[in-house]
Amino acid sequence: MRRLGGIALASALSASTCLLTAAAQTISPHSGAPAPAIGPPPAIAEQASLQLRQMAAYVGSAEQFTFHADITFDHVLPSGQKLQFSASEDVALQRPGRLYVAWSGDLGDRRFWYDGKSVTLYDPATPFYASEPAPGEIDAMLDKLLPQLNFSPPLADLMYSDPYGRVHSNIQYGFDLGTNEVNGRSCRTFAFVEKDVDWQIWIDPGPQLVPCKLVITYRSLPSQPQFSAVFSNWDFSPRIAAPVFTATLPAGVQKIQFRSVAAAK
Amino acid sequence: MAIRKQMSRRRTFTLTLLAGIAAVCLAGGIERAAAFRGGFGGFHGGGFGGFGGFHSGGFNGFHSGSFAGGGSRFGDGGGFDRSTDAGFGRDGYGSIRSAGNFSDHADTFRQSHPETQHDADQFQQSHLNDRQNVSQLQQNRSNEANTLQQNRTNEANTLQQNRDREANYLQYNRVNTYNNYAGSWGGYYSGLGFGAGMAIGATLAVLPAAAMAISVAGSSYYYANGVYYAPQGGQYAVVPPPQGAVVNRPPPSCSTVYVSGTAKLDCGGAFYQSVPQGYQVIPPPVGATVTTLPNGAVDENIKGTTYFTFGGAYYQPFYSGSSVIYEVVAKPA
Repeated sequence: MRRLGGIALASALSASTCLLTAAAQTISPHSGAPAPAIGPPPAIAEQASLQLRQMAAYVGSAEQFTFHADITFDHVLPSGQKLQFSASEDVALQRPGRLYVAWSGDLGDRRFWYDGKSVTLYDPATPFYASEPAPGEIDAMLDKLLPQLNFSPPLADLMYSDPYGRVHSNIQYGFDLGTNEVNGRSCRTFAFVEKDVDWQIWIDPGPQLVPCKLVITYRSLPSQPQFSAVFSNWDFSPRIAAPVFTATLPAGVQKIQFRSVAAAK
Repeated sequence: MAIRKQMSRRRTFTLTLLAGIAAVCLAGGIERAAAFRGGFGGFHGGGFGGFGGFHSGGFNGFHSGSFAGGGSRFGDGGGFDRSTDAGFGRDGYGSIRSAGNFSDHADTFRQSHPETQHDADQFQQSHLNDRQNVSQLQQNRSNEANTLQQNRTNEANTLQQNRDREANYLQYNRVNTYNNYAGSWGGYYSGLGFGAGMAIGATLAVLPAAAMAISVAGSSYYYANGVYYAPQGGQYAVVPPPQGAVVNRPPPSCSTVYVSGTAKLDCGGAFYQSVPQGYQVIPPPVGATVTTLPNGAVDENIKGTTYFTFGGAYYQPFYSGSSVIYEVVAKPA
């Protein structure tokens, strides 16, 4: 019923007017629209769910993309004091099986390569890198990375082909915070509550349905540290040279092993 | 071709979005959204301006380019020590889907850092209060009833917390000092190869005033501030920490390492364990992992594998999570 009404409205009003209306958050009566049924509000606001799903489908279905993220993250001292540090993350992704992540931050840098055959991690502050065979597709590789090697590239949620499927089942509440600016872009803001994290996402209404910003609050950790990413330079038609996905290491760097999670226990 | 496909896909999504927004106009979603904004009037309040000066200076030394640059800079080294992984994704940090990982780790952390339990509980409590519309009166009554108990707990925790803060503060300052002066103060961390700026084998005519006499397996030594001295021809020679020695106070700048669930102290590559009389020098415990190598560790390639040797121990580098650690291993055959 709602969907039919929506289509009727879309044809009656110009699409841009409605978009403007949504963005401006004004309340306007829609004559002829059925009154919303009164009942308990849904645990996840309709728009929060819808726009998260659309953004996830847009990013997840892309054959390739690059983006940049400016990150802040908290380090918690044993006393409970939080210190905030910054980093920047550059991601290049090509489906099905290529990924490169460059991380440069206050506390150190990392390079991560995945060429469809293996993953390689390098901390440029050390003369060591490690490499491990990996499945042929990004999703399977990411699924293996965390349980077996105990890390995954930050913002890995956005590297899956189905980001929505990866996160939605844990959401307990989700609500709409309206439209807010992120670096001059007007982005629709949604907040979600999970058992162990709260998170907030700002989504660009278009033409690219990409996240503008993401904040994760780790509620179950002492002092509730936050991780925040402001996105820029989303490019879905990048020209990425194939060697980008192959580890490039300075001369003299030695290969060491990953200490697998099983070995660490 | 690929670009055209991309563009057409974008159009599709744009249309989908417009249809979606149109639907919400009808369904009253905007009204709900507006109501939420109203309720969050104070949400965006400022008040953070005071932090602007926080980053002034003091942090410049982090990129000391030290060989073991991946090491913990804050003396914690636990699962949440973002300084060891540079924030890069250990335990899935920076992703939403892996949030469950932090549940388990939080428990482990609380066990090893009981002082934070209280804080965490407090936060949890206020969070629930914020979110749930439970009867405030009931809550207040409970709070009042709990206050005495909480105060007691607070008091009990205060000493421990202060101690931790102090220790941490010292450690923090030392790390900064170390990073800033890594070139000239290279030996500061190491209680084994160097002590108070002196190499093992250096001799002194007079012992430091704080030196105390200890006896280890029938031999006499003197100990002061992490450095061991043995009488030698009327003088005192700096010697490596004699295994089995028990001292009342560990050297400065130790970090805790866990071996098979037992805490040991790693004091610049010299390992100590707590005993009733004080702290005892023990052989480097196989299985201990450290995030920084002792100063003076020498790399050695044995059958194609890189090791570092120091104080009789072999350290093997690994990537653990996204950071390099060094594990004490048995002497490679």
